[in-house]
Amino acid sequence: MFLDRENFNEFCVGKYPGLIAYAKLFMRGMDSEWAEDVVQDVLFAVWRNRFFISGDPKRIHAYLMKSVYNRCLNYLEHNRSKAKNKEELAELLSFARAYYNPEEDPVIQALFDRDLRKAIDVSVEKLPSKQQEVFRLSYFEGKSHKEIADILGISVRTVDAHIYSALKSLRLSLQNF
Amino acid sequence: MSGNRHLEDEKSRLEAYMNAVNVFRDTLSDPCLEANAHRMAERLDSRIEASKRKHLKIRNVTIAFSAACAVLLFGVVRLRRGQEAVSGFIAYENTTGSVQQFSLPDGSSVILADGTSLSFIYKDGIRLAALDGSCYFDIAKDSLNPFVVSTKGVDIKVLGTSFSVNAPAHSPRLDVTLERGSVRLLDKHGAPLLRMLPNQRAVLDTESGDMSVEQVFATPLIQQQYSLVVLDNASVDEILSAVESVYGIKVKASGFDPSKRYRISFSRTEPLGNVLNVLELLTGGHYFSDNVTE
Repeated sequence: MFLDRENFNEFCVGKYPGLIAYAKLFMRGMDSEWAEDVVQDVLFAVWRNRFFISGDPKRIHAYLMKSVYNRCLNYLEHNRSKAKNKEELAELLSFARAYYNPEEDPVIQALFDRDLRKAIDVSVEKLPSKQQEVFRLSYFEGKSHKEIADILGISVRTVDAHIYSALKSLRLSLQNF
Repeated sequence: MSGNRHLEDEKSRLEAYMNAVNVFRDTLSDPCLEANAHRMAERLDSRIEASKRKHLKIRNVTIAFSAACAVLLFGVVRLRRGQEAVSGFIAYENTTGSVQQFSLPDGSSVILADGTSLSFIYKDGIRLAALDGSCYFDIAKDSLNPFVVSTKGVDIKVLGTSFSVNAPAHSPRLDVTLERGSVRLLDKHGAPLLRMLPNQRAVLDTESGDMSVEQVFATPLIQQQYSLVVLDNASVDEILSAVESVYGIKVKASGFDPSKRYRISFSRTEPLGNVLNVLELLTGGHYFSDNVTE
């Protein structure tokens, strides 16, 4: 699939936003430069193992997500002894293990992939119209909850509630994805 | 009771999704996102390029070693499949009379001064290099496996950076010059001595414990010290790739015999035009670079 460097380059630029965002999920308030290193290391490993990686985009995405996940957990584990607030880090670690694992949760997998957005799109279309509108503004157009509240003339709390329910239905419809 | 826990779990899961949506949104709305993506791809590109070149070079060096028997290469190298290829250690000793450039199994590039020995081992996730003499290191970035240079009871700890270490055999003196990145100096008990910034040189007296730091222009200093490039039994392609990496330029070439092998040495401070002229005389080909100023 990536025998060609230019091809690979394009692929990396395309994958960067999702992967960097996913890595930052583990870095809450910590060294964000490190997230860059993680993504670069993971993509470098892809290049080195390119002959052994399947060409199916869905499986490549799963592989990338899992690699980022592993590296991030490794890093947090590594820094555990040095960390200033050990409790917070331990909490983040157990939360990440339980809820950020892409293998166990198709929604986490899909949220960070622009290609899989189609799948999300299809599920979103089935939502009640208000929920749909709020979720679109938030996820596809990148509006903050405050902005959405202003646009639609509803309270921020209602926006939160709509997004929660949207994510809940998303979880159901992506379960067998 | 269990229903309650289930509810808690579901709530946490939704919180995780919410975090994911938020962090993705913040990332996408960052105006530097595209620039960052291209910068990362560029760095990745040069990393891939460097790893390819290093593979080539190490082959050259091995050929030169066996032919001249000038540099001893020994140790136990066992190849495992996968990324951490080497367990056991490799030792290098340079007795060629000039500096030698090659790469370590982790992809780091080193330039070894004459009369210097260096051994390298992977140990508990740490890349450990023991140095006796003077060496320039350009460390391959690896966020999980720090690189530690150990010499005269001082440890120099890095992640990905380039620096030069001089530790002459019969003197308690040791100096470290940092070109880019950052390094930490630790004493033999692991206590931190100093964190260095680029373009600093630290001088340590390991007997008295005296230490001083001065501001220097690291790159020219290092270039001067490791100025000689020696290529033995190298094809024109290999010579050109060395010239290109030393001068950071591209060379257009024609009319040479790719199967022939040559020995060439030049100083890194030599103007590029002179090096290309020598190459023309040596190989009968034509070499041209846009960057040559007559």
